Amino acid sequence: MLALLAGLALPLGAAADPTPRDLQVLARALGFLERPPAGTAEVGVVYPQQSAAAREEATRIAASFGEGIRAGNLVVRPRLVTVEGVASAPVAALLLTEAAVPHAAAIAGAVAGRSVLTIASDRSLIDSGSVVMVVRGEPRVEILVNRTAAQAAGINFAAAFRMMIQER
Amino acid sequence: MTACKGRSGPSVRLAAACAGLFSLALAAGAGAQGLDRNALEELFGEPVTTSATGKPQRASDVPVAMDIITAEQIRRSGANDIPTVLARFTSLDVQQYGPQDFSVTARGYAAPNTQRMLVLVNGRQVYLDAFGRTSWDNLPVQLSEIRQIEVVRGPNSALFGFNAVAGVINILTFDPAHDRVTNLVARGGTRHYGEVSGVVTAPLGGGSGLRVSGGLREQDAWRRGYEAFELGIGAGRDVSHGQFAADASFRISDAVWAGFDASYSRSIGTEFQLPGLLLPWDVKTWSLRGRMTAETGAGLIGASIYHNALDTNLAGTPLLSQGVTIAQLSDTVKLNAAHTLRPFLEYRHNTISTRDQNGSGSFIDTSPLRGLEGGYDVAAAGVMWNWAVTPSLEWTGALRYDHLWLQAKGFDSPFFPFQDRDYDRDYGALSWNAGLVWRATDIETVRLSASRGVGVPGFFDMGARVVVPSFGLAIIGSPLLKPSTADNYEIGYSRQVAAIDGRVGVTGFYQTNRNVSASLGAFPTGGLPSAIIPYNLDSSQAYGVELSAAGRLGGNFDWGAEYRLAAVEEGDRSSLANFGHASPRNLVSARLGWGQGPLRADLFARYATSLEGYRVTDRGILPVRVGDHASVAARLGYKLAEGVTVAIEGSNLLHERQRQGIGAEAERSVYLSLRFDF
Repeated sequence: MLALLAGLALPLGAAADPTPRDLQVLARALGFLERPPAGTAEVGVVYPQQSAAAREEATRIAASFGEGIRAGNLVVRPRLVTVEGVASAPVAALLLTEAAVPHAAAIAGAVAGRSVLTIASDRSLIDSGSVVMVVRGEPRVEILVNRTAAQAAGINFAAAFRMMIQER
Repeated sequence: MTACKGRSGPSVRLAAACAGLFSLALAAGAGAQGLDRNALEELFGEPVTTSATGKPQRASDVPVAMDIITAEQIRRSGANDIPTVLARFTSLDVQQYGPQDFSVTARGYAAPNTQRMLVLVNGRQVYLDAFGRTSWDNLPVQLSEIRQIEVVRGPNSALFGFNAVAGVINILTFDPAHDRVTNLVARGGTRHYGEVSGVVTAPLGGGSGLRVSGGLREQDAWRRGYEAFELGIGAGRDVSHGQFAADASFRISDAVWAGFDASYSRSIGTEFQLPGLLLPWDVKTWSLRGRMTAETGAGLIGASIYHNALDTNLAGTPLLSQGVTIAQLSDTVKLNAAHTLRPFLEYRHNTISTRDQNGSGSFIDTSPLRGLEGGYDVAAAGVMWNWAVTPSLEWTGALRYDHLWLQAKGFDSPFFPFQDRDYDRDYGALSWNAGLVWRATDIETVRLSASRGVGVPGFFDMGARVVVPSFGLAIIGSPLLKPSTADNYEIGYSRQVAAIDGRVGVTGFYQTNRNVSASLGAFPTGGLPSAIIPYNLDSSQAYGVELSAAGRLGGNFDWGAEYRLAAVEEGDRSSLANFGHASPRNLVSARLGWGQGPLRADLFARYATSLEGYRVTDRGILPVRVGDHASVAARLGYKLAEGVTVAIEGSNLLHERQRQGIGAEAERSVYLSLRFDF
């Protein structure tokens, strides 16, 4: 089972498939980056190359984006990215599958300073600073950001957005 | 304490404040995209507000009792004025005295000329502090340009300053930089109601935009409930009003937004006032504002300066003119993961002049006002502190100090009790808010709050000099009036309920109100001529409970209901405002909506228990009691084509005429509207 973004319909940290609302939240959150992507942006769904099961789940998550998620003037599309390939992936954000979670620190290190937003569902990764953001769409939208991880990633958010989310 | 330095002093201080304010805003560094409410609301799936603490918050996070009425709800309300919208979606005390004459407040004390509810349009005060009331038909805003109406029940002076005593109503229009709203509404109805209103939004390029709106309305007055003398001075005349407004928002850079707005409005109609009479008014207002928001390394800096002007004519007699200039500066900064601060400054220069009045009216003699000038300056500073104690517990505290310098000249006269020197006063007032919000679970929220609101008497209460010869009565303002305070304590609980696909909430409150102004409801002094001289009332207590529920049924239905119990216990010294019984003790507001395809039906009901007040009659000032009553309103809308909606709307449908308040008798009204959205 993929961890995927936010805690989904369960408390943050529980693993489950993303709901359409979770993906909407993810896409809309990109609009509050200091330099938000415009037009079409890609989100890398990250999985370890050696795991066929992980690729299967990454593929399933990518499929849940459909033709792309529209958030205002932005259309967000998925791209499958291996853990080993994150450093060169032309994406605005990286969404970690559950299988990629053990590699979170390495992924963060690979994209440090490149303004790539790393997202996962495991709340412990926020507490440890291994990813920048955790989002959840239901039953109540929750967005957690690790400030240190954001700084290391070269990520800044709009001030109003920061005042409405939880930071660590 | 510092005495007033005269007219030049405040002007210099004001200019300095403005210069500092804008230079600070212009010093913005790199940043982001301003407050795009639309994007934030779509992200969080709920309304976003700044009216609770000054910082942007989700509606479910605010530490105050708040209602937010959306544009969709306004459209479905079938209402053609804002107080009616409020009556259909909240448990506010909405008293209606005529077709366009309302008094709106919260948690009791709903006398005419209520001085307790601060009303704003996009943060700009439209409450008329010259008279201590809001002239609702003068608000320069069309219903079809409103994004949402934010209602804070309970004091919020710590954020908004004087007169946010019972609460705050902040009417937010669409932002021309982010929202492309263009529409035209034509409405006709019984009592010769006619309305044309519209909004045009045009992009200006580079993320900037301009919105222009206007509206013209006229209708017959309600026909019954007047005294003969009121009809004799024109109180039953037809009602007409027009408004024009323009709002431009400019994206200066990624980090800086500037805006300018202007408005003009005029209303001719009848307004009910203390001590209990319907009077014909002609009220003109205009406003001009510049504002700026900048995202800087030091936080989100907001600055604005605006001028409101008021010109009034009562019963055919020019009364007074007012100009108030307000400069505001704030910095909302998230210091770290847990703490957000919002220090702010405000300066207010308020002048009232009666230079142009001629005292020639047949009903009132305003010649004693001739040449009087007065006003006050207010300097205020405060800070809001929000602390995310844990992920599920938030503390918000706000503290604000206002200092007022009162001034007047031309009052020296042996025939009146108060002279120029009596107006040479100043005083300070501290207001505060404290709130804890505990998100007990994902679906439950508990809220504890305490607050102090401060109200300043309307200038007319302090400086009036009017004679009503036919009554042998003089109205004499008193500069000795003290500011009023409201200490409010409340606890609230709300939760999502899956069974109703909605939400329920309950709030209990207890209030102590001190030094409430009797205003023109002061008991007249004995002798001839008798005089109404406003005084401060003894402390009074208000307590009660507010219940709310809203949900959906089967996909096509939605519903909502609010109940409010408010009991007010007055002290020994009371007034003709009769605050102890001015509001219904029990209020229920309920609605049911249904929609399928192009058809949309909405039904609204409101029930109120009895209330009591006073009416000025040919036989003296007599008590009036209004019994328990219910009213029903409805709207049936049909989308003829994309962007074209026709609707039939009705209000007060149960009775042809009905006494709902102590003014004129409410009449059944039916309207046909056609709306084009472009």
